Amino acid sequence: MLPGMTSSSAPASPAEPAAERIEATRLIPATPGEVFAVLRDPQGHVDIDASGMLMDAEGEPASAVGDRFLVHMDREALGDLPMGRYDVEVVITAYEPDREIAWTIEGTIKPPLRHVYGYRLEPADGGTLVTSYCDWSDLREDLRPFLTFPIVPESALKGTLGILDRTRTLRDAVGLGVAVGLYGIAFGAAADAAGLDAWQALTLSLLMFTGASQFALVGVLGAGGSAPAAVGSALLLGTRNTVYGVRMAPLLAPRTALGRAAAAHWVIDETTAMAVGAPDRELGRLAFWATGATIYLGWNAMTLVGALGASGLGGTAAAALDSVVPAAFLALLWPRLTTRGSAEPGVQRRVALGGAVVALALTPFVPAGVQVIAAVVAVALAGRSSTRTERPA
Amino acid sequence: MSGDALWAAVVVASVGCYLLKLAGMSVPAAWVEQPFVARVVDFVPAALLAALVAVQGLTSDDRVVVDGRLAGLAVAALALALRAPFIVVIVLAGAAGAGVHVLTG
Repeated sequence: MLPGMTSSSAPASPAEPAAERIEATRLIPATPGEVFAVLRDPQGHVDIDASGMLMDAEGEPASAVGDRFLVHMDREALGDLPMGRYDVEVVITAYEPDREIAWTIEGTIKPPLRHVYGYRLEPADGGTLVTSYCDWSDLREDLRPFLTFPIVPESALKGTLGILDRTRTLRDAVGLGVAVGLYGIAFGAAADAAGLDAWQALTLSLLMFTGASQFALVGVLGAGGSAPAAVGSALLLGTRNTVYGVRMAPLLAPRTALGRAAAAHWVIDETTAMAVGAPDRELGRLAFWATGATIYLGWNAMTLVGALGASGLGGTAAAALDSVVPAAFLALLWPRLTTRGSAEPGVQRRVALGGAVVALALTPFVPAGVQVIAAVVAVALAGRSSTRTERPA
Repeated sequence: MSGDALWAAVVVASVGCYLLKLAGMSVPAAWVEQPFVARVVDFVPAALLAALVAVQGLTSDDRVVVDGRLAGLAVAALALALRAPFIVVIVLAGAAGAGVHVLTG
């Protein structure tokens, strides 16, 4: 046995770990429930395996001690023994929902070796501390001279936790992308109600690709506003993407001008939020591209569905559509007014109220659409920052 | 508005919005991260989106009017307060607007 192979790397371990045990711990930015869902699922084990040995799995997700599922293994990936492909049965030995799951392996050697693999989950700031372990202190004595433990090196445990992290980031990003992509239906319908044809709606989703600005453009046009007023509102709402770009540039660090031009197109609220919220730079990039790609596809496809579906609707459906557009703006505005979405929700509410009042007050006196742009004067209500600490420029 | 004018608005606004994104990725961070600029940009969406809610929900041509759209907005606000997903908010608001239309003929 190689010296040093049994060292533990578990800083969060509550007790001094036994010598015949390896552990690896990592903070995963997901709830214990979300992580546990992957770990109780046979396919989840195949998805996150870093040893390369797990080919496929069969069986239902585990739900109690004694549950079993089948895993198809390939020893070639490890290269220690000429075992080739074989099947093992995983037998659950510990099952505590959202806290711990452990299992032993019943494979080609009978009776079984009695080594245990498992995961322990602890809620932590920013996610869940996940500890992956392998324990062979209960190993069959008669086999000890013939076996080298651990079979799977500590680096594979660490690798598995890394993949678990990436899997979570990817699932979150794609999930958000699908949800946001669906909004495209509302935009397509709003564009149709405003008198744009399906091609114009699709062009906006393909080229402008920033929801609030797109809604603003068709909203002002739909209210009978002039083209300059409509373009002006879209551009004013687009300025926040400039700030996002500043934040994203060092994270994405595009190497070429073309790479920068491509990345810039997807710098919007959702991609920025997902990338900035990721635990490190690599996952931040993964979150940015995965969220961007999913939203871009969904948003454009759904825009077309909404635009084509809305044309040819009757009076009642048209009335429904009339109510959809202001509700869409309210839904875009809402998160900015809450403590979850904004650092200064009170000030945001004051500015929003000011903007609405200015727009309504000006409506009888100015050409349609101009009152929307004029409403930015309400930003003055924000005043000077009282809480924000000055960032070094 | 003519088809050409609509197309012009669509293309000009799209290119402009793209250039705003590209500018963020390209200019020195210090230009944009001045406290004054950061603060204005932080609050522009609230003012503009609220203005759009008001204009889209409460006006028709140059008059302030109350109709089914206000019912839609009220239902949407309730759904948002209950943290309903966007698509649910939109569907409920649309149903409320359609309901008022049917009831008032």
